[in-house]
Amino acid sequence: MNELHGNWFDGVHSRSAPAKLRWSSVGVVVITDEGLQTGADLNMLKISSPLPDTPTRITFGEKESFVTGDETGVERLRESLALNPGLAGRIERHMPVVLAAAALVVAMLAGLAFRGVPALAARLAVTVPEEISAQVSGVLMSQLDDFLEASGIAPERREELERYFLSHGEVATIEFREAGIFGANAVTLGATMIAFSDELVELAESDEELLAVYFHELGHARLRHVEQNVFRASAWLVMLTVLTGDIGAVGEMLVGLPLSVGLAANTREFEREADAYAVDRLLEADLSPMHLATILQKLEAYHLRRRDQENSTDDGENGQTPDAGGEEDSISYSPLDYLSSHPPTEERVAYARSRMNEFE
Amino acid sequence: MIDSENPGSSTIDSSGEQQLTTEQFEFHGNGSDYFRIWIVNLLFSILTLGIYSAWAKVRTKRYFYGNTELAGDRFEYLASPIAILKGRLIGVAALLAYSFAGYISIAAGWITFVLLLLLIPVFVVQSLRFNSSNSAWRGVRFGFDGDIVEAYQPYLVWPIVGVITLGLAYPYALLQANRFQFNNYRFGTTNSTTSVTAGGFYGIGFGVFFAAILAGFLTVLVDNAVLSLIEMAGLDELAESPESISLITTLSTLLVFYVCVVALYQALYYRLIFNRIEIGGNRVQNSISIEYVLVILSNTVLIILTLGFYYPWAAVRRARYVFSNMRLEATDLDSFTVGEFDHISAQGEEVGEAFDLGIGF
Repeated sequence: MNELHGNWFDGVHSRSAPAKLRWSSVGVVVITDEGLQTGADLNMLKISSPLPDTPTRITFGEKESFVTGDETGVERLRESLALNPGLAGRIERHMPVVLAAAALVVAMLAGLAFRGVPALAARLAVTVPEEISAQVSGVLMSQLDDFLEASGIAPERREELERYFLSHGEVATIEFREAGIFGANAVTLGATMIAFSDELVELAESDEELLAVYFHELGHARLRHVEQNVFRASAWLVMLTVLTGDIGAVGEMLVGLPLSVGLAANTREFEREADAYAVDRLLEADLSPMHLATILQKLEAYHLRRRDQENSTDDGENGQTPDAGGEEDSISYSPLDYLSSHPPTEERVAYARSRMNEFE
Repeated sequence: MIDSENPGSSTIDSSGEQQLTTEQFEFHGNGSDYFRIWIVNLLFSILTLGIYSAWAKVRTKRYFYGNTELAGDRFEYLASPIAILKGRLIGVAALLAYSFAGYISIAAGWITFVLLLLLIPVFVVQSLRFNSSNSAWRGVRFGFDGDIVEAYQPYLVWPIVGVITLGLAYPYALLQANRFQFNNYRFGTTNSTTSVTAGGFYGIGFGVFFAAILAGFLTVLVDNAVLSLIEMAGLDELAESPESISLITTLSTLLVFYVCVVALYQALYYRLIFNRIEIGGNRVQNSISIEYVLVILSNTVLIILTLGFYYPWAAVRRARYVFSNMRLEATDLDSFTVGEFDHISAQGEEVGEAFDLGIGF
């Protein structure tokens, strides 16, 4: 039967009139329960596109509309008007197709986030001019300087190290600082600046170890890891904003969490790349990859010592907590390690060792 | 003070006693239907690099409006996706201009920032007009008559004063914005009025402020309690690093309390504003309770646990709760009319919502 039941609105008054809509091959007529009749040509009808379990609105010209919840009836009307429900409408109707679409969405998002964005970031990072990188590193250094002191290492020694480093690979600026609470460390700030802490210089037992660190940092600089990070973070942020546009403030904060996990994963991947670069350069300079391994081990032992000192001064009452030596190893396997920025030292040392066969 | 006693309507038959009925809002949507719409929206938005998102928005709003019933009839969302797409393109252009201006020079960055700030009231009014004139019930469209010039006070001057006074004037800014909105909405030709007062907004402000302080305090307390529980149970030897446990508990308690405070604010806000609105002698009533916080909190937890896939059910659950607490104390819902003027202007504002400001009904 070519008939729909619904409500009729005249578009002028907020009155709802229960009515029937009947159609033939040429026209439609709406008859309200009160007996009022309105007719129109079939080609004047506009039917809202189908949505699951949502009433359909059928309009005639400017004002009048007829609203019905009779989905199968509307389907017949669509057929006689040769209207198709649209791709979205067709997919929504079939749950298996919807689930396939969901799987596709997940796959595409994962592909975009884990492959697309990193590839794009790598490509963009190399296009950043050195002057801009230098500007960024300058800003970063001045921010860090709020927490750092001028280097206490004799200027002659610093110059000697700088000459030694630069003879093995160029970088625009090498800085030395006393790092205080940060302790022994070295950082790359963009493509043009590498900074060493006094504590690291003192910790190293040979200049070759320092050179190994320098090569690692040079790897970060040459591979544009800082710039890649900036591009990845902003691309992910754009992705998340587009995806979650409707979720609202709470949702935005939630999606920030995976973003920071992703960035931490980034840095671990970059650390591995920088280690590989450092080993390559050490081998090139006829130096043993073990220099990298030994300084990494020293750094780990140094930071564990510092942490233990802090802990024992922190909780004087809980001093009885055993700090058995055996526990030190397990620290690097705590579940949150996934969040930490560097791969476990053991893994990095093993990597350097595995490449010993290339040295001889 | 704005006169709240003004019936604001000329369309009501004032012949004798008006009969008062209570009409309950009802939301008929369900999670699995919205899931279908949502996933298709996502798929097409990704495939079209975001362009489809305008269509996606229309489908989403049509579903939510079309499943909200008042006095036997559903609401309707009538916007054209093209208008929304145009608006979004303008919004993206403005944001791009802002971010690139910063690279050219600091001065250019500031100039663009100030320009955008000056444009905010324009965007707000556009958005209010667009959203309201594309919302309808019983074939009659809503509308918004607020003037762009008048919008500068509630949407620029007062928020700035709010910032300068370290938030003390902020509830007053909210009051101004709320009055600007609800004294300028109309249904057909009938304007709505609101009788909100500054006191109500200051009440919310202080409530939320103290809730936030309490939440911060509780976070520290819970964190310490969890740590000492773990220690007492001797679990600290199983879990190698106490720092990681501490980080996890701190992050999750912070998240829980943050969500609670935001939800509390929303509940108080809805309760305040949706008990003060009148349109043509009909009054909106709202009885949202603290239960709302539980709805939002459990939604959030489930969204996290399902990596986002619970979102459609969460959105439906929230709508169902909100509307199950909304009523209209109605005198006459049949006598609203559309002005002649409306047929022309309501065919769709040419510029859609430039920024999706999320304000409206």
